Amino acid sequence: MALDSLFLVCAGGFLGASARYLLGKYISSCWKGNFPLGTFLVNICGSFLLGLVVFNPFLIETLSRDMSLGIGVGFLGSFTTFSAFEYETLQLLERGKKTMAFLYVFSSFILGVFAAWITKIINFSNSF
Amino acid sequence: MKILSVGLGGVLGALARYYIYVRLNSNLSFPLGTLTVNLAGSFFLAFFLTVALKHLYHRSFLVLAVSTGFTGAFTTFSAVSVEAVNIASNNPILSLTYLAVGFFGGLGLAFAGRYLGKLVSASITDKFGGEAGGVG
Repeated sequence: MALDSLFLVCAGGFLGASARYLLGKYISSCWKGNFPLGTFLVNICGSFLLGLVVFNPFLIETLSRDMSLGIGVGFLGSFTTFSAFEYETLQLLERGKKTMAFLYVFSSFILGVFAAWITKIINFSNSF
Repeated sequence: MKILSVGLGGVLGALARYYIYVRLNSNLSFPLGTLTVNLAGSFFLAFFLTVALKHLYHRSFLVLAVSTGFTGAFTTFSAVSVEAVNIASNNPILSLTYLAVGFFGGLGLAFAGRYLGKLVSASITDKFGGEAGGVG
């Protein structure tokens, strides 16, 4: 582990967690439904962006190894979250909202994997 | 201040996850590191929040740093999506298995964390009495 990559993972972790917190706060101020929209959006967007970092030929060529670690493992790894996703599913089940829990879990996985997959299939470099 | 505590928790969470990645994800065609952090984090978050919301509610910076900051950053969803795509190109069944084990394992562990949290929470109330007992 080089020091540069460790530093960038730390910086990414700080920014990713803060961004998730701020976005969650903003979304919960305007979205009052039971569906955990904040975590959902963060996880789908983060899956798409990590897909770009890992699969996009232009980004693979442009970003140094340390930078892709900082962005991919640091920022996007911390921006997206799995524990809150499971905790929110648990809360929905505890409140008897089974359909909502099912919808949350399936849409998160299907759209998350789709968002990552589309970056492998389509080369978005042309639009950079 | 709140952003700072979430951010600092995020730094520690990302570092801990990176360490486990390096130890467990390399040399394997199966992302054991990601699975490990997600399962452990799902258990811990449910446990911690169950205890904290009852006994640490007046320490909101600490609760935010540990839950939203540390545990949120320690676990990750984006890597799961990308790994599922990667595995699916060779072995779609393994990819689905990875997603299912992660999700159902995490949910089962979250329920276990909730249960253990309630036990610990009750014993704190017994010993110290009152909702905020034990943290004065």
